[in-house]
Amino acid sequence: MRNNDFILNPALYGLPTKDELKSYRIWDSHYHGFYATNTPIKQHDAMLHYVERMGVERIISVDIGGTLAQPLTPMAHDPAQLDILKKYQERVLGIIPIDPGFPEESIKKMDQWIANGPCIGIKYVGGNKLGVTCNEPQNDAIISHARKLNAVVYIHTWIKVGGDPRWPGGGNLPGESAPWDVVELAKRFPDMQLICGHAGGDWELAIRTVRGQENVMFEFSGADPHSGSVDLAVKELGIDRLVWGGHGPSRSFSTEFSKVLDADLSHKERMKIFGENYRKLCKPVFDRKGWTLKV
Amino acid sequence: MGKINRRTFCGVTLGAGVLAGVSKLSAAPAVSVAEGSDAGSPDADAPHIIDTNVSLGQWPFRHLKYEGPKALGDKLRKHRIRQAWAGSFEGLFHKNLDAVNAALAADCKSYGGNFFQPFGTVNLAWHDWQEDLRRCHEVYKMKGIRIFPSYQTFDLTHEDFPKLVSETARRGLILQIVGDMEDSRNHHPIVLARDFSYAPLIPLLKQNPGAKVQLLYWNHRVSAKLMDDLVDNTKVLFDTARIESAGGIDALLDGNKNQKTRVFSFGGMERTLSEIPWGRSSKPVPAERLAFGSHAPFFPVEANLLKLFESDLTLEQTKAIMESNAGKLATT
Repeated sequence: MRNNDFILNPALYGLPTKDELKSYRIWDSHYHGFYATNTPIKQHDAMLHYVERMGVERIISVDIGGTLAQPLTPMAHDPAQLDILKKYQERVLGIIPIDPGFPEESIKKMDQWIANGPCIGIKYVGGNKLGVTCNEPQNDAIISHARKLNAVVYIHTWIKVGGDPRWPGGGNLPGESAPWDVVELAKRFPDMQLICGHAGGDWELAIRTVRGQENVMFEFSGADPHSGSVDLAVKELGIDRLVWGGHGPSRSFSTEFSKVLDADLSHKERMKIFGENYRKLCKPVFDRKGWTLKV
Repeated sequence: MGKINRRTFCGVTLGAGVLAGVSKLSAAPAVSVAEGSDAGSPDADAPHIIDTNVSLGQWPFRHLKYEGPKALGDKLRKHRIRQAWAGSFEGLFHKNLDAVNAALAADCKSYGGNFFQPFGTVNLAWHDWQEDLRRCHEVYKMKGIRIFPSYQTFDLTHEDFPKLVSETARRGLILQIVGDMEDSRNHHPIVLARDFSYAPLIPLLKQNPGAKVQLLYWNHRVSAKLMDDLVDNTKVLFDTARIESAGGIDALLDGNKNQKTRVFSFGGMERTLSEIPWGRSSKPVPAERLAFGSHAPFFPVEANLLKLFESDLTLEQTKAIMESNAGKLATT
């Protein structure tokens, strides 16, 4: 028995049918299927069930090569990931975590996995050993190299409340960037589009922060779904600056879909957020690799 | 990037019991359902939904897209929800709770059709909470109350909490206990909501076997061990609002040991999912212990609706979570 069919008709519940989900051409730009301490490949295999079940066209793993905690250390699962990226390129893409505290080593990893490998971009992780956020000067070498490779740049951001007295961002980890760090970096690279990830954790403050910096894209995954959040982002940033991520398995596709479905958008606008905007962003790296891509 | 941990997942399995069919639901008549009636069609048997976790009133920190009875009620009805149990956001901070409860009752009534069922607020930290409780029951004819310990400056070790449990049980009221309203990382910096544990419920519910208790947005405050204890030793109902992870309800019901085998195709190859590696390690949770809760209008109602499709539940499980478990709690 196949388990990918819904037992009830979603349309009866005001939800998209499976065919409608597929028609959005959903690209999950923040896939954490490989994010597991001991069993990344096994976890990825299990995640594929839900990828299929929810009609996702393509997944972009953000955990390729090493781990988020040790992004520059080769791991035993790296060859298996490489094999999956080569074998299932039509469905599985990858970006690599880097560490801005170690720009030379990060660039070396970019050459291995992007210039000479199957990956299409880099990810700034939510914290790092030396506490270097994305606005620090040593990032310039990394971003310059990303520009040379036409690589996608995704930056984890959060605005965690903390500190004494408490303030937004006072609870961030060492090296965990905030949206204002992305804006600072984006000003130095006006010809690069940078993704401000997780809607800054606090979408209301993050939208205000990035709205004047037009080369900053905005992605929503990994935070609780708040009704009205995508409506505000569309109003303040414009539909073309939004990209979508799933963040599974720690988040459900349902949670992440709902942020877009809640917004007052046309089918065409939903398509832009669910995948088209990201496809435009990675078209140059596809071209560089000689891969075809229907945006 | 979020680390997968026990706080994130609360997952695990449908116990043995085959669920009874959709029971007769609360006394409130069903309002007409979702737009596009399917009466007479093969879809006519599709269950409707009781949403056990919605809120009216003003969220203190921003305007919400579907706030107020008209906007929220119309939105929920589009999604086949036939009844919604509504608390008030204003119960978080207000001191004159009778005014909050009166306004909530009036808001619910204004929408008509008994669609909204008001769940008033009492606060054990405010003196004479017993009078607020009495009015909720006797004056406003409420079926239950909702408390928010993390905001209301008491926890479940408060000396009056046993009285609240026994008094709600005596009156036949449902007691909803809210763990969180939002991710604490998003709080306004001036707010420092307090920690509390649900553990004191266990001995109290043994002493009050007739108590009707539901936990809302409970997930950050229930460890695997406590979940086991609550499932084994109480009859509390859990809402779905913050059950997270891919196939989160699957994981919660199935656990790691009692998986169904799922066969699917990916990349032109047939694959089998026999275990959800991110499922929690605690005991399976019977589907009879879950009830749909959207946390609307704070969360999009679509989030929790879709979860019931993302997880490949049986029709019986789906009906139980959508409607019959809440219906039983309201009527027994």
